Amino acid sequence: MSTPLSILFMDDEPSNDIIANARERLAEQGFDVDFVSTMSSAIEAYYEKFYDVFILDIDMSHLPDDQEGDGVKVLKRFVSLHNQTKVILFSGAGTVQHWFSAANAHCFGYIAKDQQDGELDSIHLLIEKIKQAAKSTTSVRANTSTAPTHALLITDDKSLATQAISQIQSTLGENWTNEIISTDAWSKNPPDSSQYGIITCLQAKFSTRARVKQQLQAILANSPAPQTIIACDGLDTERNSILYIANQHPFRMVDLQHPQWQQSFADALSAAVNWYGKQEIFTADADTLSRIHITLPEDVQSAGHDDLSETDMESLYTDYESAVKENQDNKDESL
Amino acid sequence: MSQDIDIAYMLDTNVLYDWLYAYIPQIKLNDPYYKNNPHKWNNFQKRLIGVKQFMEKNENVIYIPDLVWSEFLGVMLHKDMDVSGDHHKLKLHFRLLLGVVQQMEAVIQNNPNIKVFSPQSESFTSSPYANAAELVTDLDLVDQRLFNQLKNIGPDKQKIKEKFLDGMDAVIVTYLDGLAAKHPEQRIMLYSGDYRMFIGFPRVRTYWRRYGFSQNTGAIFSSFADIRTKNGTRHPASVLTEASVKMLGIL
Repeated sequence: MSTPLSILFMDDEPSNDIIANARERLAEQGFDVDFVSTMSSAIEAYYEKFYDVFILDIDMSHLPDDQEGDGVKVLKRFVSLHNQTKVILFSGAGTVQHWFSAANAHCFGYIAKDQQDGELDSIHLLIEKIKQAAKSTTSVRANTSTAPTHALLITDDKSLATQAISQIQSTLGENWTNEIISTDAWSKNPPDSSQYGIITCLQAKFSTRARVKQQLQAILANSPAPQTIIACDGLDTERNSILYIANQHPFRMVDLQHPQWQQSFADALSAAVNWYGKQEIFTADADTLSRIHITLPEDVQSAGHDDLSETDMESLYTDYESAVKENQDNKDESL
Repeated sequence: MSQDIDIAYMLDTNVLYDWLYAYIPQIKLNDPYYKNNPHKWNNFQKRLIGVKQFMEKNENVIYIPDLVWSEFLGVMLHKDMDVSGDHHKLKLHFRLLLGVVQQMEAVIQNNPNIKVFSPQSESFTSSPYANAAELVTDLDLVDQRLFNQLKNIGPDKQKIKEKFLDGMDAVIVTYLDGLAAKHPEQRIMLYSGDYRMFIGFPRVRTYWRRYGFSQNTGAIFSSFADIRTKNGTRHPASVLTEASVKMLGIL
């Protein structure tokens, strides 16, 4: 009998109907669910027990907590500790900024609590996402080849295209060549994505046509080779399409409504080249690392200089200079 | 006036262990070896800071052989696996340990001066493994002088066993040879925390010169994040100059 999927579920409103219902239905699925109502408890739990999937609420302001911030901050912390950590945000209060920052922190999924897909409610979507996360076998094997210096820009907006091309040229340099294609032409006859280092899809609003969605999904499935950047308008009215993209794991999402979007795009381009073929790594802060308590192999613990006596250590400088002299003598001898 | 020379470093596996410890020194706090001896603990901390600075602030090229990286990971993850608990306990251990390794990978990925290489990527002309086998089977490699040096290492002068070029060490040395052959414009220093390697390397280089061992090589003991010269001044390993190199006689 296989071990049940272990899940840590963080939400500060345990008695809320959706949360109570979700916990019940997750248990019915046979998942091993631990529930915590503060960010501090969730962070502590990360170091204490292995969880296959983490479900995090975003707004955690309903209960007092030592930790400041929100669920996206916890997501970033977990991913900085291990970039293969599967985190699904399950939130009713996310803002446009949360959607983009969660995607850029590489959440595995983002489900809004009031989201529906036809007859399927958000808890059903959450369960499907958990199952998808459990099956997902993100390869940790890095593609060591360098990125093809060829960028593809998919867009129908000439003005945005001009600005984006300017950023691509100034950020990536003269070695990179560009190619622009319209959404329609691309969706009808998509070029081989492997010839590109970066593919950028630049659309104020995403086409809801099935063919376009299907092609976009196909490109995103090949990430991180090429890396994919999605730029679109961050508007409340576009929540469903933005979350749809976020759930396909783009390398970066850029909010075209943000006054500094060109700078964000330039940063995304630089990072995309650096992490071509690899899973991006975010560095952890000192506090995050200081909580790690593990035991390493005995051989490693005595590696280096620990097997030398104190006298050896004290006289190391003298020994070193002798060795330098020996080295010099040998050199002279060999000439 | 001294002039900067193109010195590059190649890492030994034990340096990676120290670099990893530099991120999580707290895991050694309860080790009796350090717990009961603040002096040793301080020295340990200094060494880790030195190695971390060397890896993260160095402006010279640092080469990491693929062999060294995989040996480091293999030992860290798969030696002494804890099977005392359930499967999840082991997976938690892996995840936390990989979290620390990930910090190192981020530095490697973001620093253009740190290069992971393989015999294929550097187009070695011969197999480092075959060369290593020849090296360790050469009866004259450990001569009387090296024998005496090895005999005198450590507190026990009556000891009956020592080691030199054991495990993958001989392959690492032949990687250094192959790398230096491909970069004659650089002087490539093996940066190692293995005192025996440091003591014995000059013998390997000079004795094997007859078989074409690259002479633009050297060894630096990683305890010396900076190197003391004969007149007592210290040079950070990352900014060695032609003058200091001549003074040290390491090349």
